[in-house]
Amino acid sequence: MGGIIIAGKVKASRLNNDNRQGWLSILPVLVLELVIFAYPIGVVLVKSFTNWDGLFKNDFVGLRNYVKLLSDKNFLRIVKNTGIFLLTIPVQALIGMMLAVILYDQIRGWKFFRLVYYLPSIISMVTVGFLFKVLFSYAGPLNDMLRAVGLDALAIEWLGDGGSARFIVFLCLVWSNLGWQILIIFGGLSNISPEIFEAARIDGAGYWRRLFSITIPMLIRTIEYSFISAMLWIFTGIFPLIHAITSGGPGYETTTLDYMVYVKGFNGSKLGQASALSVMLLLIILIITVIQMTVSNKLDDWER
Amino acid sequence: MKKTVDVKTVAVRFLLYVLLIGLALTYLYPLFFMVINSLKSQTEYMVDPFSMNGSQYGNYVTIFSRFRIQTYLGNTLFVTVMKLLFALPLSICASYAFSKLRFSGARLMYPIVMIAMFIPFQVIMIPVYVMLSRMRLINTFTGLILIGVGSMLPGMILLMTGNFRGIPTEMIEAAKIDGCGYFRMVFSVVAPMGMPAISICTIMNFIGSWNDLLAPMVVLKGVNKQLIMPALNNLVSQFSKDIPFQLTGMVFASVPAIAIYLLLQKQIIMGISSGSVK
Repeated sequence: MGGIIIAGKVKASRLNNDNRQGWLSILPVLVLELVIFAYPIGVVLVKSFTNWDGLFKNDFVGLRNYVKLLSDKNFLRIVKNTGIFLLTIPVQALIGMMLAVILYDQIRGWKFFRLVYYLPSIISMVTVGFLFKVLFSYAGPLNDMLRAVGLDALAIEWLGDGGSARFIVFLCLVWSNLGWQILIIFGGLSNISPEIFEAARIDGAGYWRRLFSITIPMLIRTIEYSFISAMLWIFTGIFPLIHAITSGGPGYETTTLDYMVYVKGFNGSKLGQASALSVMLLLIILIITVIQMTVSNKLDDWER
Repeated sequence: MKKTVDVKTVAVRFLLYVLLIGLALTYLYPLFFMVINSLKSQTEYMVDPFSMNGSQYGNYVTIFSRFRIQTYLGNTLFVTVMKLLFALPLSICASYAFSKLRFSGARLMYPIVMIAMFIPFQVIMIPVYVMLSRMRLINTFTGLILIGVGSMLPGMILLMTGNFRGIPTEMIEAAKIDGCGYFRMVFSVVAPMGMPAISICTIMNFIGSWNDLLAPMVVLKGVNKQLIMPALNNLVSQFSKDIPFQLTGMVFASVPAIAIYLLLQKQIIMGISSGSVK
């Protein structure tokens, strides 16, 4: 305030002008975000304590939804599934990093490989999921190949058993995110000055040495960014893939937290429980975001 | 001595290429598989899914005449373009304000808008559904576009604000002195200079919107009034035995996105590796 009084008249009107224009510029965005995000989150919070079914019931039931969810025998399975799918991140990060370092040497065809590996992120996860479903079906081409080479015992109903279905989803997650991972690491690598690699090569550092002693330590920020993004994605973005590839089945064997919200809300109309699940999901996301902020602040301090 | 080293590097190189090409095949073959089998009848597929002798275009006729895929593709294009038409100007204005205007709300409001980026649709879909049905917007494109614009904005604003900050303030000042009004400033001075960010936003959100499953599935209820991904989902359950027909549907669902990717690969790859888009 003081600044405006001291400043000349022109500057004051400029500031006023900026103020008015600024608020007007962001007003539509704020209103829309309020309607689409803030209000629904409020509703979800409130409804998570009710037995809401969208039609008749809408009574306060305290923590019953949360207790019911946490004591549900399927809940542990769902949490475990999400946990297993989170393990795709280190696997994908390691393979992605190894490939990115190879491609970064600009070997012949590196652009082509980079282009091809990113394809699954461009075609929808729905299409990717359905393709996997076709390829790994009992009468599908993979089993044909296995039978052709005499491995009949391995030609199983891949998506019919919990363990193997999870394995297929795991494989699909790593496979489809590899290209994204490579691009992210690539971006990080191009920020490292090429002289460092040059010097290392002259000193006779081999591929593995360059990977573990230069690339990984210098790319900590990039790796951290990719881990956090991938984590958020596993918690919130794999609905289309799960829906297409297994529909969460068999039973709840490949159902994840975010898929469960859909199942409870739109197939069982247990909207109260679905809201409670949404609140849990929201809490997890908040925790990851807070961790991200603290980690990146720490890294900032460390860099200074 | 020198010779053995050479043999070793050649061998390593060879193995490396076997690995890289093998991996590339796992990405390309499924797409190839999709195309060659969409040209087969069900029996042909059952007999040999690997042969390339599929020669009947029946699926490509049926998918238009019986499944009416043109409706779904048209709907998706319409909704996607409308979302962008609303989201782009809104986010350009807001990003200009956040990056170049000194106003009281900037520091407080920017993180509030950004928080929305971390909220997935699953968390809010039930109240959004109820809200839209009270507004009589369920089963309308308007409802879907409204939701779509709202969820696109935070990501767009993040990317554009970062980019607009790089525009020299002197230029803005000079334009102001020349009597440049607000809209001319935003759309004739700022937007052209922020084109790299604006175009990557457009491309990525186009592909993202094209590939979206959950929001259209929740908002649109009619069988004919649907977008391509939920329609593909319906196709697969409706023709659960007819794999070649399913694959034909997948060809149509993925070709537009692949075409855009191949045409604009440079921008897309640059956008992703700069780490600002997922």
